[in-house]
Amino acid sequence: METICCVCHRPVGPDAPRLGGRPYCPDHYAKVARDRRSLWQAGFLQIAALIAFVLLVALLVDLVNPTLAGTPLLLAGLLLALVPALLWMAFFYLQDRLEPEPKSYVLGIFLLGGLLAQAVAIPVVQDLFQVQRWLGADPLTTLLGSILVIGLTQEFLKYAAVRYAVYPLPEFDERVDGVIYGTAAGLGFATVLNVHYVLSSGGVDLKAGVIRIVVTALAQASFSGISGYFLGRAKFEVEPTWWLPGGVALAATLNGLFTYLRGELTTTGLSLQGGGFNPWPGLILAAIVATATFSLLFYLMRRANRLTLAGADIPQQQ
Amino acid sequence: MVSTLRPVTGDRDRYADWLVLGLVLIGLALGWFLRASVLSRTTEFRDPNTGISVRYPAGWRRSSDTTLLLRVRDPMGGTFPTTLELRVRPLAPEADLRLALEGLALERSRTAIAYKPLRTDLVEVQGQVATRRTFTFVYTGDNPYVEQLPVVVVGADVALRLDGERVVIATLLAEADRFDAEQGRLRAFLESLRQL
Repeated sequence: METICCVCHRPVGPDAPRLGGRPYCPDHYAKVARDRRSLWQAGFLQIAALIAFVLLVALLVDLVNPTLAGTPLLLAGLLLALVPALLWMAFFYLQDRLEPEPKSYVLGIFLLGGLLAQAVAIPVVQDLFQVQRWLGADPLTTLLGSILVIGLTQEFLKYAAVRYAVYPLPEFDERVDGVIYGTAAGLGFATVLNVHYVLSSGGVDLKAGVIRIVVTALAQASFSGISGYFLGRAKFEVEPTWWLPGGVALAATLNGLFTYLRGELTTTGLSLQGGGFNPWPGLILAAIVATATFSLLFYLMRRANRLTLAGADIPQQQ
Repeated sequence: MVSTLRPVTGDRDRYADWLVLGLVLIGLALGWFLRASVLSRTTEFRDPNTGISVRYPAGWRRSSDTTLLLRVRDPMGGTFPTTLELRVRPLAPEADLRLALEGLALERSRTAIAYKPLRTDLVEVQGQVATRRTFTFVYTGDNPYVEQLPVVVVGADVALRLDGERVVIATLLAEADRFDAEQGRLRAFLESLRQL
């Protein structure tokens, strides 16, 4: 039986480089351990760009004080909802000129994430579980419900988009592809959630709305990046059977915890001066979560790549 | 080691897929259990003057009304929030329960828009025979400055003997398309009635 590359399935010689007992062609062996520094830089730049975008919109709203209503307000909200995705595409294609990635696959996963949000996630969470009726009963219920219902539903769907659409394909040929495609699924998911938010509200307050839109985008991309990391490792290393379920569980738990903390931080006590809701702490939390998540994933990827190149810590395939 | 044409990760990925699916199903089942547990929570209302206690859905808002013993509304309701009410009225021992409902119907017809009784029938509550009247009216909202379409509200008054001299009337009011789904609340409300 001939030896083939475990990624592209092209025949390779008997002295082909191996990882975890699996043979690679020279091209894919070189790719497995690439750091893709420009990709991570683009990711951090995008986080910064989104924060800057929120500050810009908030400043404009304060200066101009627009009195939009009806259709113009709705259109403004929809435009804001699309900005995180457009920014991500711009950054992705910018760094992609240096290190090509199949654009159609990334866009396809983005659209699939959005489709799953509209077709499955929103009906399951809002229509079937009706979380709006009971999730706020008490803090423990909010936390558990956010993890078990919202977190698990959202993270499983984004994981499934990557796992079943692109994971088996030769184009998924680097560990970091898990994070790339996971992030794409998360942003598609977030875009639909944001559009749904704007449409169901009939238009939103621009300042509070843009904060919520960016918070959703940062959070969804971060958590699906985590499950994408687990997928990337699973494809190219010998991981235990609990590895992928553990990744989904971790992403779901963090998703639920974030939902709970955001609610706690943004809800203020009522007073004669107003109050009740302040979205800015939610944005700070999302920025911290996104930065910390991508920093950790970057570190873990670099560490895995160094170990790969050293040929160490890779168990033999049984 | 020689690799076959099929990716060697196939079996492991398959087991992992099933584990992920199992994790999600178990998690959602736990979430469903949590939902049911929260939605079934109740709060007790006790009135020493009338000697009655009853349990209503936890989290529903109580509002005051001098003509009622109790009124609670679903805070997550739509245009017309689902409402449970409780009244105690005097009624002679020999009088039919319908008499109490007739008096209430007359009050409603004077205050509710397009009030129309639908049917009257007998039901069993806590082993007793009770009389139930179903009716409908149109709700246009409490605030005239808020633009909203009128909604059709369906209600049910259930009259039950409290003791020889009094009758308790429990009422469910809900938007027409939600009335059937909310019947369980009225049943639980009635079954929780106790004398102190």
